[in-house]
Amino acid sequence: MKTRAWGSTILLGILLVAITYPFIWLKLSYEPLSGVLRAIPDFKRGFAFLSGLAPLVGSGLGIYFLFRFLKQNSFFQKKTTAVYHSYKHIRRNSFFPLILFLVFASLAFFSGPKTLNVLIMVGIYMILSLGLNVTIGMTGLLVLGYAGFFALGGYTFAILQQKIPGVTWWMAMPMACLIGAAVGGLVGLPCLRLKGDYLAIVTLGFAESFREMVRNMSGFTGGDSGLVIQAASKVQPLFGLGVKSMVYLWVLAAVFLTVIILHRLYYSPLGRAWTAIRENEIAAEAMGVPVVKMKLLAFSLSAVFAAIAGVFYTAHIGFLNPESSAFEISVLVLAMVILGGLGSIPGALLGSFLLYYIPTILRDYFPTIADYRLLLFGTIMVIMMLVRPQGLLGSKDRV
Amino acid sequence: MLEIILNGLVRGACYALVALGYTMVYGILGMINFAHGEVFMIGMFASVFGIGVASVLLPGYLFIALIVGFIVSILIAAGFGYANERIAYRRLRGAHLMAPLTSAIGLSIVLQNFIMLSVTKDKIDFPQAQSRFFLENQWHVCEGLTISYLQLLILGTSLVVMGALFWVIHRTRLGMAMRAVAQDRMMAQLVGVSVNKTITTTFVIGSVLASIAGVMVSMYQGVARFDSGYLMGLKAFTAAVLGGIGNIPGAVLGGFILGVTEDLTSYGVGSDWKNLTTFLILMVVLLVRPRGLLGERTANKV
Repeated sequence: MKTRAWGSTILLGILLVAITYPFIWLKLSYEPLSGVLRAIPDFKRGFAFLSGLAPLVGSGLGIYFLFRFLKQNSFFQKKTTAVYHSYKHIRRNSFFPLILFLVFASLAFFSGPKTLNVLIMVGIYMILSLGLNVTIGMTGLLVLGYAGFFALGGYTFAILQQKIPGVTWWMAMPMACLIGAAVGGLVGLPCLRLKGDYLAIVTLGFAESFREMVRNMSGFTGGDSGLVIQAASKVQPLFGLGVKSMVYLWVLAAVFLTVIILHRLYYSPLGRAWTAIRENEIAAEAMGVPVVKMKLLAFSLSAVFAAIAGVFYTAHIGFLNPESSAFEISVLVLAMVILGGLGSIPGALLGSFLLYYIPTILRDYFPTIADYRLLLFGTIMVIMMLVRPQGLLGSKDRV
Repeated sequence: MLEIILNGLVRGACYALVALGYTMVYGILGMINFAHGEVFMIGMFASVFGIGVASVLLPGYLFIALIVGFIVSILIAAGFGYANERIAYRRLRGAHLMAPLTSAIGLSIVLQNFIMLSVTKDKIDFPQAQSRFFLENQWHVCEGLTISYLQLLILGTSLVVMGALFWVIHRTRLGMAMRAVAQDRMMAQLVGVSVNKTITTTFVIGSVLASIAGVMVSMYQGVARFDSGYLMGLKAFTAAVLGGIGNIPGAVLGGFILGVTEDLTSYGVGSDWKNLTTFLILMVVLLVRPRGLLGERTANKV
């Protein structure tokens, strides 16, 4: 590296230390009576913050060096290529998805409730990230308030079963899909005619407003305390399997269906039109692609998937409150899609598995890790964009 | 009624200051600076820390502490604005539109959580010792209209700062360079404008404006929280779109309109609905007049 590059890196480092110094190493003590505020150096809290950061930095560096080592190791490379080729061979078999489904479905029979809970949540996040991938990955539109549609689906189900006793989750599903599509279209219509970044902020505003609306109309939606799902509307045990196992099976079926639908769509004329819009909107329009219509379709479709995930989530947890529309969930799903690979279906699956499963494991060893989750997701988004914008499984020519 | 409109104007002045940062960056880069709301929040926190340090070093000098708070806030926010541009935008300037957006959102999440984890999850108080003078003294203008000194300070400071910004943009070499880069980046580079420096300066100026708004808002509300920047960013963006994004007088106008509308909604409908009104305004403006009130229709550049 040239000395000048080093110099600017060091300067940037010094700047970073200078601007973060007060927040890490100073402690505020406020006397409300006299109104005097003092900031005193406090190393204990600063070290506590940094030590909470340590496992994240450590595992990040560990993964980085592991990848570097594996990349240079020719023996390992030969083996992975061999495995990959045999995998490709198996994948061509048309029974492959069915076999995969059966393998995962068999987990329902001998997993404990704790494992099943994690698996169900991973499945729900997989549906969410697959749905978000339609807008972000395939069409190239940034959506920041995806949790708004997730909550919309959940609330559709929760309110329906409240008003009409005996409505089961699968009866509410078509209604949730319809409402999701309609609201998606309504929210998307004004901003999809404009440049891409308007959609990001409008959806962000939508999720926030939806949360506030649910809070304000407490007679209808239960307000802050939320709505409870009646036992009759939840997933029923079947074939001698427990409730958890049945929820898992239904979610698994939904994930598979979503994957198949999206795979077929991606290679259809519709998917080609979306890709064309992502690559160059003006060129696509010049080629005769109805840009606004296609974008609206993609956005509505992804809202539908979010609504489906919302119904599953509500049926699984049995309870729904306005926090389901929180920014945190939108960010989590966004980070999953970006980590896994924009526009890649296996990428979205891998991303949601990694980002839900790894924090769950880490939480057992480092209890404070839950607080650092969002910091991790934000860092992943920045680093992936700088280093590998196509994500883990995305191919280079696609984005 | 006059009082409500006045409160709205004061609120709107703060929105306008933050909205200027959005609109400047949009004008020059054609992108939304998503981390801008976070810079505003950091300005809030930095001023409180600055006042804290100053009152340890110079106990008793309240006004000096307040000025130190302003300066520290401006310096730190400028640093964050610079770092934001260097980390999230500069390397991705030629990339697909999604890449800088995503990295900026990632950075804003990082900043928010950094403050939450390193400072506190709860609110911090703006010291009463410094803000008491401005809160307690009032000026009776006429029947039914009283302005506190703090409201005067906010309106006055923001008008002065906005005036200074107009002067910088229309009367100095830097402003000329900024307008040139906004018009055509390559052409500006060809005639010898340092594009990198100009863009960085734009980010820094926007951050300084946001931090000034941050100090005043934290003084006005008395508290600061790690997530204060999120809603502020959303509203300031709405203000910028309302006035026509990329248009500097538009951002000011949009900020004032938004502030007044919000306070009228709180008065007429209830304060629970004011954020929803903001969103509705944004949607209606995008639907009816996407270029904003003062924006001009421009053709797409190919």
